[in-house]
Amino acid sequence: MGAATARTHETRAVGGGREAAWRHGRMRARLSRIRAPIPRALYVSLAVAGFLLPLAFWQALSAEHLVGGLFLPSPADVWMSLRHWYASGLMHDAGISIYRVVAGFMLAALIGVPLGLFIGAYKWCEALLQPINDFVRYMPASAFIPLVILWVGIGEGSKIAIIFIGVVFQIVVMVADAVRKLPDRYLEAAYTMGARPGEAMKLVVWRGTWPQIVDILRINMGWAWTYLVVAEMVAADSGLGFAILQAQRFLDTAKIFVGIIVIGLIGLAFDLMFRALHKRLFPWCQS
Amino acid sequence: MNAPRVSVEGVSRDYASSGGVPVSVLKDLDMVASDHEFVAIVGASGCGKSTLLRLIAGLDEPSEGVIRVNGRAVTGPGPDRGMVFQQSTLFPWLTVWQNLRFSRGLAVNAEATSREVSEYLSRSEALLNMMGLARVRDSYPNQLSGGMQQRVNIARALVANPAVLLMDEPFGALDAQTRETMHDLVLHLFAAEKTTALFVTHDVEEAIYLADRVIVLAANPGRVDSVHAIPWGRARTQDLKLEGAFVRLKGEILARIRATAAVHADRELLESMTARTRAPSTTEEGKKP
Ligand SMILES: Nc1ncnc2c1ncn2[C@@H]1O[C@H](COP(=O)(O)OP(=O)(O)OP(=O)(O)O)[C@@H](O)[C@H]1O
Ligand SMILES: [Mg+2]
Repeated sequence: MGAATARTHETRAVGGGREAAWRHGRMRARLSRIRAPIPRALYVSLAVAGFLLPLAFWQALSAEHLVGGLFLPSPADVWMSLRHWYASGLMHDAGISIYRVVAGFMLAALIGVPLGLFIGAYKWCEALLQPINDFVRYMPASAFIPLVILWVGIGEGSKIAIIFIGVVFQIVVMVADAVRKLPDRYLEAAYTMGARPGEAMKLVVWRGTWPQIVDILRINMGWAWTYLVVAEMVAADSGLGFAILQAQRFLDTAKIFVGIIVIGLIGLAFDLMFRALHKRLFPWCQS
Repeated sequence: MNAPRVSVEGVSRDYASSGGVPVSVLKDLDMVASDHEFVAIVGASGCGKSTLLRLIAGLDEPSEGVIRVNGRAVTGPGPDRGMVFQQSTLFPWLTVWQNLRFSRGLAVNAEATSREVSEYLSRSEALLNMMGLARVRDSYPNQLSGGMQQRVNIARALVANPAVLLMDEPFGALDAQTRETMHDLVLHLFAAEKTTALFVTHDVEEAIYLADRVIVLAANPGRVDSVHAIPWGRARTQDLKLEGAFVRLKGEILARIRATAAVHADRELLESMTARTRAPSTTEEGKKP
């Protein structure tokens, strides 16, 4: 190792200034190289900066009173609003919203994943279900609100139903694609070892696409959260989305900010949970 | 000798082509492999070697003719015919040991007696050791080199004691040194195994070194061109490859492959290319060391 560095020094630079320049150049090369890893400390600092920079920008904008408080409340206003809401049931609102999103999402996963597996594995299933699924997939979930009220009523069921409608069709398509991408050779290997179709389905298709399915669920959990406000437009009297709509009526911009930020944070927490689960369950996915 | 382990009787395979006229990939092909025999199949690229192996494995169906293994007609894939492909087919989500034990969990083996189960276990252990895999037993396939992966593939295909092991260019993606190691490993392995082997390769040296018999397939449509018996016993060493008789045999087989590669267009292309490179090469001469 000593010999190698000595040689690079010799060929690269002699003076200290030159060496610093060389190091700088190497870092630049590393940042511009596609997929190259970067030091962990740098990664974390950049992630924090990604949050802090917009915050600083926001603070600067509102401090200079460049924008009216109605349009852009200051971070301090938002903080006050958060404390106020916390005292008057933020946790309850968050809890009921989490319940709705998770229930709608779970239901969608429970139905969407098996359907996707079958569509991806059996051509007759694909023929029967894929065209209609693609057709419904493009209909906006919010357009279903009147129908959902008519069919499910205005209880909890309707909010869960909207979130369900928002993600189930996406889960079906994405899972079916994941199954189709599983290389044929794994199935052929299983058959030559004597596997029957049912066993190939369980031991190869299911096991082999599990990591992708967890990823698909993670992505769809994010989408489920984006349907929350739409879902809570339906005769709700609590929940984060409901609170945002309510705040809009009273022009309580700070509370809208709080609602959006809280939804973002909860979503982020779910995302991190799914990532951790993925890492735990599938050690073989890490190279 | 008794009935052949594998017999391919008048097998043809046509593929529907875009033009509507079916393309005949294999035409009226006959071949047999007897007990404990190691048969290598060589031939020009596209002559139908992989197709033949897939037909025997039951992963594809012949348009005509019948294939028998142990006297029974092949109707689909089954554990009596193990297969190793050029690309590793180890399940990435299972460790080496779990991959080896995959077939044990299948319904076809569910009714095994406790004696068979313990035999199976000791057989898995023995194969693991014989193939030098004990160290990587709990590794996942993506942590192994290509050569190691192919060893596990072979071991996994052999665990269930298949009547015939089908190998389609199993070492095609390996470097020359790893290949040589694999050759000696395979010789050693098949000295101990009772399995019949059908080994497809494009490497004639590999074919002669490993096989008891080398079959040359002719292309367009694929059929048996010639069969070459290999006169040496199974105890072979790398020195054999340098012997005159070995080199002569290699030349003979290569000549057959060249003569039966029906792709005239390729030969014309090659000739035109050599003609073209010859002209400017005089200016390049000075630069070359
Ligand atoms: N599913 C298919 N549909 C149409 N043609 C096919 C199909 N599979 C194979 N073929 C054709 O059959 C011929 C033989 O293919 P095969 O893969 O058996 O050749 P091969 O001898 O294994 O070649 P290589 O040495 O390159 O592996 C090729 O010309 C190929 O284009
Ligand atoms: Mg081939």
